[in-house]
Amino acid sequence: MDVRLEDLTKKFGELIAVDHLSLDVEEGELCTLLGPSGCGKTTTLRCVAGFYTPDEGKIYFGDKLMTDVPPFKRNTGMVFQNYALWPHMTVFDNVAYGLRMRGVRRGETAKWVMDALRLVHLEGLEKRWPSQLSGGQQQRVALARALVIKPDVLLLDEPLSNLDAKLRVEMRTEIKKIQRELKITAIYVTHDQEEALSISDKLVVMNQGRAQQIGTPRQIYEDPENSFVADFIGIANFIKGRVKKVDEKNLIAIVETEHGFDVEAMLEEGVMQNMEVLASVRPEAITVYHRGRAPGGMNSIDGMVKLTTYLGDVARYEVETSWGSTIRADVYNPRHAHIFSEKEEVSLGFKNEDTKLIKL
Amino acid sequence: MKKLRLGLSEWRWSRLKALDWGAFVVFVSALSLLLVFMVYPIVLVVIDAFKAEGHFSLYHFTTFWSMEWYRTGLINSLLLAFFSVLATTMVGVPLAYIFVRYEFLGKRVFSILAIIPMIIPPFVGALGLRWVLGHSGMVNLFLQSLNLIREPIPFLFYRIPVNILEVPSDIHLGMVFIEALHLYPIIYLNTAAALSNIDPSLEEQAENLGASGFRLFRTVTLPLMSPGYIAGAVLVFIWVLTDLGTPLIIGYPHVIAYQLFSVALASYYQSPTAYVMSVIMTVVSLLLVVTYRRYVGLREYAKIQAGAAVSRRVTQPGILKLAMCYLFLSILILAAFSPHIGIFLAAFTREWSLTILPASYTLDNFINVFSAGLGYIENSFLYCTFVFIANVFLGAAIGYILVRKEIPGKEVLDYLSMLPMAVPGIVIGIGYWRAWMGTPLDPFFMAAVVLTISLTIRRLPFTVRAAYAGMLQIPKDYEEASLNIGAPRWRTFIHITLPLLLASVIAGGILSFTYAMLEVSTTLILIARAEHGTMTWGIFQYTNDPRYGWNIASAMGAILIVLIAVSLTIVGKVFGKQTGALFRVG
Repeated sequence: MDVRLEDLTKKFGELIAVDHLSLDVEEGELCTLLGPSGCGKTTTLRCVAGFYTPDEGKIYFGDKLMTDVPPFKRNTGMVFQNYALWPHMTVFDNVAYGLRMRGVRRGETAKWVMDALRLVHLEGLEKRWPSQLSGGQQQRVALARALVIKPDVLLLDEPLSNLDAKLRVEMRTEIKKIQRELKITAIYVTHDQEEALSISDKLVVMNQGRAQQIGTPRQIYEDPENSFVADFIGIANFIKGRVKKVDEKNLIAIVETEHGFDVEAMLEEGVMQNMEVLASVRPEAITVYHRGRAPGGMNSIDGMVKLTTYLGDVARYEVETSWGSTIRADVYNPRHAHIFSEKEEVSLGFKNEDTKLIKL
Repeated sequence: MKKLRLGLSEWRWSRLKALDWGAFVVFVSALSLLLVFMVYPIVLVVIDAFKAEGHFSLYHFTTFWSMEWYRTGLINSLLLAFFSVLATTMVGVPLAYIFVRYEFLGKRVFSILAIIPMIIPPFVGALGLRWVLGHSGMVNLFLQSLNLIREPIPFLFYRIPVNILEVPSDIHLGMVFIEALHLYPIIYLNTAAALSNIDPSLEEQAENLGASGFRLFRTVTLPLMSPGYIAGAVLVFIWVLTDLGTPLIIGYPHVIAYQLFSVALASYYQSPTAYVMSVIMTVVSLLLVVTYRRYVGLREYAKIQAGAAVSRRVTQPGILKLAMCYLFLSILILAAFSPHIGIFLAAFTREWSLTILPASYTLDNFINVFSAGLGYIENSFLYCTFVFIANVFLGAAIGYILVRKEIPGKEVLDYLSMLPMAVPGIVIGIGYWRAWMGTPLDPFFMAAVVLTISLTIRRLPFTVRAAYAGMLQIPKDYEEASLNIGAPRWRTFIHITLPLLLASVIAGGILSFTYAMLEVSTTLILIARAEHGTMTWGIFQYTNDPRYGWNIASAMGAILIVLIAVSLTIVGKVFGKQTGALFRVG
């Protein structure tokens, strides 16, 4: 079932938690709401679940208008941040609860519960109490409980945030697999950008109640529409400037930065002469050279290494520029490269195709 | 009211649609119940107190104050309450400090023995003490037999005359002793709970900055524990001020509660003077509670939870301190046990006069209680079982609404459901006569019904508070998860909320039951006929019988003691160290 939000707005007193959000989640798609805390992502999810009634806007499941339908009639399956397993029921009873509410016959209930538990690899634990389970197992029970009712939409509210790092990676892969297998429409809330990139078919970056950008993980990462998205997803270095020249033939724009030098960037649609822009470059697109050794045809900035962090797979530099700001550069696979030490004079080189312009 | 209407106008239709109608109906019913059976009678009493010849007037107040007898009564009561707070503080606060902060041999046993007075209702305690410390009680007879004294010492009847506002009054040290002996556990439990909730790092930080000993206590520990202490102190003050049973047993008519009772009986429950006294008692109690709630805030009882935080700042006292602790505890526990000793000895004898211990023992008193007095016991159980059931449901519903539901006017319910802690039982009794006399609920005929209703309302705070605390322990997610996978609100409440809430509400209900069994003031005012009598009513009836009446009353008292002991043990298992907090006001 596809889910459609139209102009959804939710206020808490003066605070506008969700601000005219419109979103289409296709059938079988996993859509992630990503953003810093307080951006409205959880509020949006809770509106979809029916725990909040929106002040404006509409929510559709398929063709059905759901805005005023109470939560228990929406047929969504929600996985809560702290799992919300009922402590007075066994694993079996927790999972069976939704089926009993639907009047499913006893024998059928048992079969479906067992199937759900098998799906999340918890067979044999049905007689346990929630307090006897590890965090990861509780998470799986919560997932089974949400799935067993064959919900139209699966809702996940930061489901992995209480797990340790390793388990988190494991579980997110598993959630993704199960979601694919069941072809279930899912809305997933997280503040972890890596999690969002890895799991989503569609990604909504939210800030201050508004959708900043909606797209595939790749679109969001490689083609951020504004500085918030560029900064929030991954890390970006920004240089402010004005478009000096537009080269339509090579699809290149030349930007005169506020620090006097020029930078070449990819030409975006709608970028015109004299426009104020931010040139943004990802750290992994920057190569560090000895001062003056950056190859021609590349953008190049001079600076001094302020901090070197060696992480094995990557050498991470913080380089101070002549105008005092810091640019981050990540050099991957530094095995055969020179590791620059602090206070070394360097030149930073990056290609124009890795330089992305954001309109201001 | 203005605020409330404003709140409503801000409401949007969409919100109204989202309103939980089931909860709203329960809310309105609970509110109506409290309004009809608590607020309405009191309002009638207040109106009549301020009305003479059909107009607003202070006539009854000036009449009241013009009579020295009543002025004395009022001032005596206030003095009694104040000195009882002082006395309970002097016992309860050190006790809390010793038990929370020191580790010593026998601490567990002592800490259980120290709350022994809680299992004896104060008037039964007074009854027991008369056998021990009365004119011909054990102690006086013992001292006389040693020829240490000629005349008996009036332990329980000693009064210091004082003159306040040119009103001849007195501080009744005997009463202070009896009240303090019964009520110090309230101060102790509240203070101990507050003390063990103090984050150890706060004191460690102060020590780190150079504070120690008494200075540390005065500057950091004391302010942090004072909300808990004040909660206890307010309760003790109100309790003593409105206590009717103890002055009746001791035979001390110069206090406002006793005077109110006599005036009410003499005027067939409808004297303006009685209304004036009701207003005064209610205003004093309410002022204290409101001030307390301002000072400490509503959220205080959010801290009541199963299993207390354990303070890590427990030390081994030095030898001198240790000796002082043991001495203090031994004297205290000896004193705390003396009423029980008196009651149980008297209950098992009929031949006890002019000998230190009874001359012979018998079960006759109990046989008497279970034959002639069986009606009292049956009534008590009947009324109080209803109180239990009603309060479990009401408490769960109100606690649930207070914690979970956004309903305009919720604060009103919050205040009203805690109000019975502050409204004196005797005033409720007077109000019921005023409101229901001549109606189908006339207490003369329907005492069983109106008493049960009044007890239900007066003991409601126990279950509301227990439910409130219980609700705070239940994450909202549990209920949302249930709504999410298809259970409507009422099924969610039945399957998820209620089972998780049940232990605390039942424990609160047991307290309701027990303290309804022990109720004296409303009971004595409302019950006019023996066939409606309860156990406490019966005890007072027996004391009028000059032959074995006091022994039979003691036997009935002994049964009550056993009953409370059992129920408090159960409640203590559920609430642990935080049990004391259930007795708070506000």
